[in-house]
Amino acid sequence: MIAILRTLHEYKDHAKKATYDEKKNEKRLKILLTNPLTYFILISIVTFVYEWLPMFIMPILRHFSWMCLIQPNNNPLAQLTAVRGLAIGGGGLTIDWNEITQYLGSPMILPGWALANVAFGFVLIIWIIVPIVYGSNVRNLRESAVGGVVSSNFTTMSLVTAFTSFACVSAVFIHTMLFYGSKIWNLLSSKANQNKSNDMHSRLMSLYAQVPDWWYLELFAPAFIIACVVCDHAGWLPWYWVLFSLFIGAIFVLPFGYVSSITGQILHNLSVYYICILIVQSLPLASSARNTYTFIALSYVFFVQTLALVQDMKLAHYLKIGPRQLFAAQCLASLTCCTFSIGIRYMYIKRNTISTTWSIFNNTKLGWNLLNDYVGFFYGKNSPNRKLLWAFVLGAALPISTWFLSRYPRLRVLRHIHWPLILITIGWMPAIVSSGALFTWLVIGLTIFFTLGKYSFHQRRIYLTSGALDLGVNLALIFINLIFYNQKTFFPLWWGNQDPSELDSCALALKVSR
Amino acid sequence: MSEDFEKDFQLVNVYTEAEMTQFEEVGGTCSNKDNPNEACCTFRSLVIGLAFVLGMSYLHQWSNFRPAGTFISSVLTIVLVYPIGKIWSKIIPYSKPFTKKEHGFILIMSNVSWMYYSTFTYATLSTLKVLELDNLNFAYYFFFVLSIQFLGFGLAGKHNSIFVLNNENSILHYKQKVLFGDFWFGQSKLFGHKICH
Repeated sequence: MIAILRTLHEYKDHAKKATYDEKKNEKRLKILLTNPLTYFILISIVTFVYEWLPMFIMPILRHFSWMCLIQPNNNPLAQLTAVRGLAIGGGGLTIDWNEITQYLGSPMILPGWALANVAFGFVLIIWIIVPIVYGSNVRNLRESAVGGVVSSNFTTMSLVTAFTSFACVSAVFIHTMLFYGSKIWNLLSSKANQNKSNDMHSRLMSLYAQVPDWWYLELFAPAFIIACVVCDHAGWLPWYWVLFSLFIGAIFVLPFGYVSSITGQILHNLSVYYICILIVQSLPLASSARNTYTFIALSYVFFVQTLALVQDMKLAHYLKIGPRQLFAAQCLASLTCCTFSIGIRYMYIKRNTISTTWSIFNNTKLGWNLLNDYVGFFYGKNSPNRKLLWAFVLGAALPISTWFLSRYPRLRVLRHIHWPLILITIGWMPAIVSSGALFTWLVIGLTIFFTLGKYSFHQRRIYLTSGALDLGVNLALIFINLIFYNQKTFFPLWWGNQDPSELDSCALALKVSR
Repeated sequence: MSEDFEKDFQLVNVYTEAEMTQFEEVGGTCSNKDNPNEACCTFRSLVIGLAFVLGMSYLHQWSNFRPAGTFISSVLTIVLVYPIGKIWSKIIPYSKPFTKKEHGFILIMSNVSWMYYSTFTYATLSTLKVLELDNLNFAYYFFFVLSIQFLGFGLAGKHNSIFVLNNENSILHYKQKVLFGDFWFGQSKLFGHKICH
């Protein structure tokens, strides 16, 4: 400590007297940290080295329920503090950047109000509402763990998060209408502002030749016809249901896209997937798996692809790449990527290689239900689930109520509450994002926002750091998976990786009712 | 031409909202200056872009049949493309310097590949696996995936004016943009330092 202090103070005193050589050494470190590129490389290397711990050597860090490890047989303690419990008081932490940001993205790049919203939602829903529901013991919820992973019965948290996911859909529509309705209407109704937005990027972009609307239409029309013909001809889905599924996907694009572009958060949307499942299960399709899944893929992928393409257009807009070149790049890449990917996959199937993975959404309760339970989510033995439909009413009521209340001068704070963001972030839990992971995500995001995030210089550094962390994680993942896990090589057993289930270091937090 | 344009920009800047200006300062990377003649869609960017699309598709599909999946994210692409472009401009005779826009062009191409992978793991995979069970014909398979990939274009064109030209929606891809800018900026600064010493 003294040494550090001395170096700091004496550096100040001797700075003027320092010889050229010393100065050079000081400078070197400074350059290393102030130059964005070297800083970026440094952080990436540090992350890369660190990530070997949670990914390979010490997987316990991914689900580190340290409070539970002190008293492994204490059930209330396990439910309250484990990573897959409620993670109260930081009792369960996820010390792995990959696990934290895999689905939610980096917390560092989000604006402060978005983080505050998620934090508010987390405390309200996970720390207050979930324990109340657990305590009330509806549907014998107390027999299984409070959070847990996906299983045949609802756990408390999966019941609550299914509710929030449904509520999210109506909340997004109402929120968009209330807050951005007039703006969107103006943009849609006046063709004139297409090139004359006040934004300087738009002015710079107006130099380039625009892409006429019919170019897009020319791509859309054949794709649309092919989709109808193929699905109908192969017997996967009648053509009129193809039309319907695309219609469902299309109505989600505008409100969800608008909200996600402002919050930067919900491109891959669980709620849209859920709605597709609910709709397809109520159609007269004889509950055939082929029909069901084709319907879901059509509407969900239509929705996501549109937003993804728009996102890249925005990137090109900032980089000042001409719209026509952008169009060429996207078309060419889509065509090659599709053809090649399908070819490879077909080749593997012809060789009778079977992949064991299913889509990520099947790890949620509703997705799991679709795959394992043929009755349907609202029918037969699942009919008590119909009460979840009240979520749509609640989801509509929440934004309306805060919007009205925020008109009173005293309650103006309520204007900043963003219900869609809260509901969708909570909707990822418990199976895909554990509460420990979300807690750590929030702690990192809020700490950085309140300490460094306010100033422009730091902000840029934060973005850079976030990118470097992602890079380090990605590299570590590639190395570890290719070299070790794909060769079925594992790290020798020790305390840090003895947990066989690898879902939580606390066994009680995963308890399942029989 | 470009001088005129800068004057225009100065005028606009006086009237822009504080938020907008701040955004410029914070980014510093969303450059206000633009050289419309900078090469973008060139032979080099097309070849590297296609190579990345093919390589990424192969890796992603291959890893789908392995016990542990791997992927290449867009951040990694940004970092990988840069040296390749630079080496190309060194090795191939008569080639011009590798530009920022070419880099961006390649990034957008590889982003399509990345989105295909992520949509695939999120939603398409289950559908394809179910459809594969009834011994499907390659033509059906191919056209089905091709059509769902291209359907997005119609709506994307329609929503272009709402999302892209509206300056409120600035967060999307901002991280990538900053990273991208810093990469180019950092490079010049690093060499600048080297020259100084």
